[in-house]
Formats: sequence, C-alpha cells, structure tokens
Amino acid sequence: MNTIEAKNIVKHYASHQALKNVSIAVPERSVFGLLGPNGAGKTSLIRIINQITAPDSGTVTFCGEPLAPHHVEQIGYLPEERGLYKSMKVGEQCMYLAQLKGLSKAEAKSRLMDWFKRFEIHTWWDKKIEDLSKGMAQKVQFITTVLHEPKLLILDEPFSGFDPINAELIRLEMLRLKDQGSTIILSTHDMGSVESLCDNIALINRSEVILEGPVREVKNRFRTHVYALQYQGAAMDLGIGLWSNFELLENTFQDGLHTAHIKLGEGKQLNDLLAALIPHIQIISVRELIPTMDEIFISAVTKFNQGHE
Amino acid sequence: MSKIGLIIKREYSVKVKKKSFLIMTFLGPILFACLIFGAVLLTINDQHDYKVMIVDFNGVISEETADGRGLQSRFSDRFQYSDSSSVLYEFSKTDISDSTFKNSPYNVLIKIDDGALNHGKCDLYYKHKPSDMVEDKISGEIEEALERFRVQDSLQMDYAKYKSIKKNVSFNLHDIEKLTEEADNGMKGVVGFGFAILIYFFIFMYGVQVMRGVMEEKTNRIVEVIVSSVKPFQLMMGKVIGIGLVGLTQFVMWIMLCGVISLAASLYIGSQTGGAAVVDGMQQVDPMQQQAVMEALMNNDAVNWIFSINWPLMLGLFIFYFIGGYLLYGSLFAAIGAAVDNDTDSQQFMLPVTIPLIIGYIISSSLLANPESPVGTFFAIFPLTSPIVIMVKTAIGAPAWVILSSMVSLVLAFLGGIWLAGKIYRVGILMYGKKVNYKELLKWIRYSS
Repeated sequence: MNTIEAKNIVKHYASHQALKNVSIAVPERSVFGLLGPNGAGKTSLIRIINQITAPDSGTVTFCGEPLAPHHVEQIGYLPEERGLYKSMKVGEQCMYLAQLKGLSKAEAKSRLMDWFKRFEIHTWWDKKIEDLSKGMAQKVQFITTVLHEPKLLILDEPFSGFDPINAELIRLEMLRLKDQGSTIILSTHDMGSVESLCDNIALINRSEVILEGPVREVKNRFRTHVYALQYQGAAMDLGIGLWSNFELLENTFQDGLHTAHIKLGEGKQLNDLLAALIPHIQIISVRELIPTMDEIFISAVTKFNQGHE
Repeated sequence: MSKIGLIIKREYSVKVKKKSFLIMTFLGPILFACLIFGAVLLTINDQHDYKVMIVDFNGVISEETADGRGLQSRFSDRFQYSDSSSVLYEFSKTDISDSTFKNSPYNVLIKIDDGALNHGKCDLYYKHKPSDMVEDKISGEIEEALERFRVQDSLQMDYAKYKSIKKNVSFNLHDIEKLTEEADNGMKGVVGFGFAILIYFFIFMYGVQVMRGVMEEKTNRIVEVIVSSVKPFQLMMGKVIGIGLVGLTQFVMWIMLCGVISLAASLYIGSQTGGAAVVDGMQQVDPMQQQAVMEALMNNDAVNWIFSINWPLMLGLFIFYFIGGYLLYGSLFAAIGAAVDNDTDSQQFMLPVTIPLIIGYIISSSLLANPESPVGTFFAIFPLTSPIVIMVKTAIGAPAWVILSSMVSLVLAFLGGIWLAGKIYRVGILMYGKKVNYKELLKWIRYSS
C-alpha cells in the first residue's frame, strides 16, 4: 500500500507553472527521495501534501483516503527553511508544537522526556531557544517533527547544519522510525544520503517528474556496462583477449597492477568478458562501475534540459 | 483545546510574561501622567522674573504716590506682585526711548496711549519674550484696569455695580424631537472623543504589535512548521485575537491601577485636609440641609452633564467598536506583516492603513465644532473611520439609522477585511526575499488556495 499517492498534480502561481502533471507513489514503510534542482517544484509538491496549499488539479491520497485536514496530525514536516520562536523556552516550544499536532498535554510531556533523554538534551528544557546553537536548535526541530509518531515524515534537507556525529544520529533515527512503520519523504541535494537511505526516488525537473522508481532500478537504468578489471600480465595480452564486442576505455598501471576499464558490447555478459580474458591474463579483481546518484542526477537533468531547449 | 485556542494561549502567555508588558502595564499610566504633566508644566512654567514698566501717557491707570515721589496703580488690588507670577510693575508718565529701555533693569515695556483706550491695542516691547501664561496675566491686569477707568471715570458708575449687572449669555439646548434639556454638545462630545482616542491608540498600538509578530514568525522561519499543522487563517486569527486579549488585559489593568492610584490619592488628600471630619459632619446635618445640597447638586452643570450622557449606549458602542475596529485593523496589519520581510518594506503598506485612522481622528475633533456635518456622518458610517468617529457622533447625538448603518458596515468590512487579509497572509508568509508591491498583492488575492 502507498502512504502517499499523488496523481496528475498541477499547480500554477500566476503565470508560473510550479507542477505539471506530477504523479508520485510513496510506498508504506519506505524512504522516498524527492530530488531535483533548486526551483524544480519539490517544495510546491511538499506543501500540497502538507495541505499548506492546494493543487489546481489532480488528486492526493493518504493511505488510500483522499487527503483531508485531519491527516495533518499523521504527518510530520521538517521544512528546509525552519526556525523556532526565539524568545520561548525549549520545553514550552516543544509542548506547543506537539499540541498543535493533536497530542494531549500529558502525552506530549512524557514523549518529550523520552526524546530529550535519547538525544541527551534533558538539561535544555528551560533554556531559551535564542541561547541554543544552530545544531542544537536543529535537534529540537527534529524532535518536534517526529514527536507525534506520524505515519508520514517529510524531511527537507534534514542533515543541513549538523556535524557528522549528529548527522549520523539523525540518519539512524530515520532508519529506526522507518523500521517502526513510518514512511519518510526525504528531499535533499545530498546524494550520499539518498544512496544510503532511500528505497525509491522521484527526480523533479522544471515542474515535471523526469525520473522515478526504486533506487536499484534507477541505477540499473543508468548502467553503462563498464567494468574495472585489475590484472597482472602484459597490456598487449589484454588486447589480444579483447576481441570484438568489448571496448577498452582506458588502462593504467600502478604498483605492479594494471587497471582496465572495459565496456561490454551489446548482448554480452561479464562471464563472456572473463572467459575471453582468463586464457591471457591473471585477473585479480573485477567490479562494475555503477553510476552514483550524483552522476545520475546530473545526467538526467542535463539530458532533459537539452531536449527542451 | 482547539488549535486556534492553543495559538491564542501562546500569543497571550508569551506577551504577558514579557518584561516590556509588565513595565508598560505598571509604568504606562505613570509615564502617561508624567508626559501630560510635563507638557503642561513646560507650557505654563516660566521661571523668569519680570520687571514691567508701564508708560501710562494719560494717567488712566496710575496715580501719584502719597509722598509724590513716584507713581502707583490707581486700583489698589491691581498690578500686585505675587510669587506665582513673579511680575513686578512700575509706572511712568513720560515716554522711554528704545535705548533707555535697553539699558534699564526692566525687561518688558508697555505703552498705554489713546489707542489702548479706544481700540484696546497697545505696544509691548520685551528683552525676553514672556510665556503665554505671563502675557495673559499682564494683559488681564491692564484690561481690567482700563475697564475700571472707563466705568468709573467715563460712565461715572460704581465698578462693583457694573460687575453685578454684567452677565454672559449661554444657551440651554433643547432638541424639539426629544423635548428634554440637552447638555452642551461640546462637553458631551469630549466624552465621545475620550472613547475615540482610546480606540485610536488601542488599534495603533496593538495593530502594530500584530504586524511585528507576523514578521517575526516569518523571519524566524517557524511559520512553515505551524501552517503544516493549522490553517494560515487560524494562525492569523489566533495571533490577532491573542494580542487583542493582551491589549484588553493591559487596558483593564490600567483602569484598575488608575482607580487604585486615585483612591490612594484621595485618601491621602482626605487625611491631610481632615476629610473624615467632613464626613462625620455630613452625617449630623439635618434633612432639610441635605435636601438643599441635593438640589444644588442637581442644578450643577457638571452633574447635569454626567446625567445627560447615555452611558449604557456609549459603553456598549465603545466595546463593539473597540473590538470590531481592532479585529478589522488587526487583520490588515497581519496581512502587511505577512507581505513584507522587514520594517523598511512595511512602510509603503502602513500608509494606506494608518491614513483612515488619522482621518478618523481629525474628523472626530472637527465634529465637536460642527456636530451635524454630513462629512462627519459619512465617516461615522465608513468602516475604516467609524470606530473612532462614531463615538463622538453618538455622544453629541447620532440618529439611530447612522449608528445601525455604521455597525452593519463595520461588520461587513470586518468580514471582507479578514477575507482579504487571509488571502494576502496565506501567500505572504511563505514568500521570502521578494520585494512586494501592490500589483503583487492583487495577484496573491486572486490565487486559488
């Protein structure tokens, strides 16, 4: 079942079209990467899911039901542009935001105590927000986003402002929440976190979804069938072994080992390459050069933009 | 608690816990009193000592002293020196040249000649310009002295007799429709004007607070988190109502504080002047005397004035316009706060909102002089000025249709204003770093949700 299913969403702001027939499906208990260049329309889509704005046309369902006002209590949203009331104390601020999400006072207090202990910030309760560092405030913001145990978490650049230790803490919390049943929409430009966290992605560019699907599948689509092969022996012997349908892209020699980048020809498999080379050289290792999400992002966006110019 | 209730509660508790709120609540009335007292003091207080030389060419107000050595006032109770005025008068029959005056110890020179007698105009030369208060005091002395001269010397009349027959004329006003005696419209208008000023200040002070609060939420970037939990309209109304309640609290506390201060002051004055003895004495006065006191009270203008005002209507309207006016302007101020990113940008939008308030204030004061003015009636109904103007208009006697249309138009404007403000607010709070103009605001109003 999908936690969120948006179909044919269209949104205009005056003469600017922010979303053109955008459709995404976010499966339950998954991390969904919402990617795209700045100004592509990600925030517009997020605001529609959060019911901050409504689409001009198209439908959104939440766990199979048409999106309705009561669903906001099952959504936790950490916007990219986030802040807190500076003059309020940490505790009262968290209590206020939790109650706005529908938690009772007692429930909010007890959950907050648990989270404060988990993040080792229980001494901050009476501190004023203006006395916190940016990273400290980010932790408080994360807690207020997840406190009401929402079915859907929408995190927009959740790691920005965090040092590597705290970023890892947040990453582990996200995985824990996913294990506990939450669905997460992660909007970020940090492709490393997309690779390590996301199960599915949608890439929005110029108001349209130009790439979507499970991360593994998307990566497969961008496979170049190039392998990095480490071997011992003469480069000449490699050349002899590589007959037609294999293309040697480069060959380097370092520390007594050759590394060759070889592209498989149409219809050829790794086994065919190995079978062709084994008689000629001593193979040490072989691995496929799979494009990173960064490369996929750049390639997809560049290709789309070139096609629309 | 409902979400809007939570927002109101937060706005209220954060604001009333602020030091600035406590300081303003307790020091506000004192500061205000000091401000008024200081301003009055500055106007009337003149620390200079004045030595005034009056050249009385015709000897109409001065005469020789018994020893023949100089001149003195003809009227023994006039031109007396007192500490409060610090004016010392001397007389001369011969003219004093400018250069002589410059080198003399006198700092004011007044010449009374035929012109003064016939047309009431005389020349005053000074080294240091006397304050209005001192000038009034000197001219008052000369005016009465000349009057005595005319009455006694020209008309050969006893001045005390003249005084006793000289009476001013004022009107007791009667509206033929009501056939009851009306107190002076001007006096009643003052009560309305007092209410109008309260509404004016309340709208301004707390309207601007709403605007700043919205701007704070926007620049803090908390607003997107909040509007993912509540509707922007709820957030806006929560803020407007919350800050309005803060204002009401402060207002009530000011009234209570003023009550306590005046009670304390009257008790103190009472203890100093033996007030308790007066009260004891009153209890022993016989019933006839008490009745006489009551009759005297009933004939007193001030008491008539207080009873002539329709207090229940005035208070009812005050509460209605106080709240209605604030809610209308509060939401407009909220919309301005949402549309801009900083104080500087807010100026261009503040102007059209503050101008009607200022017009309302000006019209209110002009209504005191011309109660039936059609312009005044129009602005008493026009919703952006009515919260201020209607108070004066009602105090001096507004027809029921004016009051009713004014109330209806305020309610309609409030609904329209809130709808408009809500549209601007909804888009504005999520719009950062954009220089907004009126064209842009119109676009926002046309956006679908």
